[in-house]
Amino acid sequence: MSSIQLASALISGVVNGALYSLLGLAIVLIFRTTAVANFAQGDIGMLGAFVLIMFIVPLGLPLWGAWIVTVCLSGIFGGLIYLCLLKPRPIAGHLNLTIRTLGLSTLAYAVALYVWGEGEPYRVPSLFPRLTTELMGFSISYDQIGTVAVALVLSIILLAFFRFTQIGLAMRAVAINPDIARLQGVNVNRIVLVVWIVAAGIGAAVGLLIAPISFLETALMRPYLLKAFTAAIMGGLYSFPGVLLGGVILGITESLAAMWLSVQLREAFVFLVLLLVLLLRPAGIFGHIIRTRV
Amino acid sequence: MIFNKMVYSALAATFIVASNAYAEDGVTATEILLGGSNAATGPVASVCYAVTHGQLAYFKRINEAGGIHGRKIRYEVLDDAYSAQRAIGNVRRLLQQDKVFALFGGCGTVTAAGILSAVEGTSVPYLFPYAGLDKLIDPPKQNIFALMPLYSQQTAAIVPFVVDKIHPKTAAMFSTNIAGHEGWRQAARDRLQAAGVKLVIDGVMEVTSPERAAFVVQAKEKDPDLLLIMDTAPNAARFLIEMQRQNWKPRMIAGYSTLTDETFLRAAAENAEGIVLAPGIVLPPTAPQSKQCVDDLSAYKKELTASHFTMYGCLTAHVLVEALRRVGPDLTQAKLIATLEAMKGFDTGISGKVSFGPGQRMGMQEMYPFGIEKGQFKIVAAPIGFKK
Repeated sequence: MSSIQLASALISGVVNGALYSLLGLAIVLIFRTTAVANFAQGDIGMLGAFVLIMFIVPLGLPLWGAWIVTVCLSGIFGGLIYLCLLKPRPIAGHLNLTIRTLGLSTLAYAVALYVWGEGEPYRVPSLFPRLTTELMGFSISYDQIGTVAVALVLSIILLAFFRFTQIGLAMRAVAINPDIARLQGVNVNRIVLVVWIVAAGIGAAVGLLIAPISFLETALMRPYLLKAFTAAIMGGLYSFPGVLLGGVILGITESLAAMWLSVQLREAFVFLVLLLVLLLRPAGIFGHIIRTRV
Repeated sequence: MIFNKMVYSALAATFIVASNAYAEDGVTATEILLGGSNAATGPVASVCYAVTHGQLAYFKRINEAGGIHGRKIRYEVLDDAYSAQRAIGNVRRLLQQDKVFALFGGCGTVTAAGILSAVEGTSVPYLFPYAGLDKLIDPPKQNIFALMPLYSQQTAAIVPFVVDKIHPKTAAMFSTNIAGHEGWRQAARDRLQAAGVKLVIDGVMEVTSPERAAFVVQAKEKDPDLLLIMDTAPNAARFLIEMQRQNWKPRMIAGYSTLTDETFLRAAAENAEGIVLAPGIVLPPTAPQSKQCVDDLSAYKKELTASHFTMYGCLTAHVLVEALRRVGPDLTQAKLIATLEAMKGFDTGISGKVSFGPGQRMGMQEMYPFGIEKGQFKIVAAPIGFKK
């Protein structure tokens, strides 16, 4: 592998890894607070991208404004998902709730396919110029730089939010033990609602970053969702820094495997790495084994 | 009273016999039932189902004008989602339950391979799928006719044309790994070798994965003069977008007919301007001769946009209707096959002339070389013939 190929693989890996990290962060956020694995996380992002080009862009807003509106609307949609789908009958158990998200994912995909499937794929405008720049002999495009920058800024904002704000502290409390958080006066239902709003907003942001690169189609987020779960598991399902690091490691690993071994072996190599991580660190890179008293 | 009962019974029997006078499956006094399996959903739906729209639009106009010898065409299409297994299931249902007269259309090499396994050896005509699958017509099958030149034929025609045009020293080839890819890759290798062009990369891409970055990096590293992309329209467009991201492009890009679809044009946009050459089966919708097909589509469904695939649908429907007309009122599967076999030099107005024969099941003998100028497809030279 030449240095240019290596550099291109690393850049590509970091970009993809940043996207896996963000999406994985949303998954971990919901999982930590509700113990529900949200299989609809990717399709929320997909729907967000369709809302952007079908409804928001035609309004004539500047693209950055359209982005913000779309992310906010997606957040509201996430809140509605919680209120209508997850909040009713919570005693049904975590498996039941997780299956509900799987059903939502299937429904969202089917509806999007019915409404927009015939005209796909769609070109989505990018926030970043479609230009490249040369850096030490290899090319890097502005949308790659922009994607990593947005992912980095969002990650910092979210980590700071969880660490330094009241509501972030409340979220962490609910994630550790919702019963004790309730006894401490935290409105758990409201916190979980906020979690879903934030997670849906993150999903939409990821969808809006991916769609201009890859064309928008109804199956856009499916490969990313699987990798996001992988990143979350690698990082430790309860660790925010873990999922961010796990995503980047995953992205770089698969990109190097594609370049070094074969593109066809990329997926197999990724899951080999996952298995190794779980064998050597069962709780993930940053996770720890949680013992519960029965 | 007994006499009246006898008369009524005789009349009823006559009616029953008359309405079932056609023993041929899928044919009645008033209707011809055609069946098809196509990708209404799935990774190629956006391009493939346009073929069916073009066909339905054409049939609508024919039916509104009274049909063919008093029979209207009813075309039932089942969704296979680009899955060979589903396509086989669809065909079984169409043949065994619905008892169609012929299988018509469809799109996708993967599914065509599945359908072929289900109809080969039967008497049911399987007509004009959009699939460049060698096995369809090589060796020729009695009941199977094609209008889509094989991808290997397209490659064998376009590569010498492009080589003559730009005189490349090196070439790279990336092909999607669908059934038959070894055939057209070999055809390309043979033509490049014959022209003294060095093939620096011969890569295979996964059809279900849209990831193209790794391949573009490989190509950029070798910097070939000519890039051959044998891929679906959306994935080929992704290849070009990735080339832009990598700030690299070859002197010329060529491929097969998927690069003549508006999906590719729309998605690849300015990245394809002036550097793409591909073989087109039918004239583009913007050609004056295409007006009838475009108008039919608009009358069928206003919101649909004419494309290479709708034009192909129109072409195949046109050829089938012509064949049905030539057979006459006494329509059977065997007579349709014989009529198609006897078709020579039929001018559709939107494609090369169509000719079949006893050992010739590929009706199209030439294709138009398409280029892209000012965001539109343009025929850049006289039709290219295929060597037998």
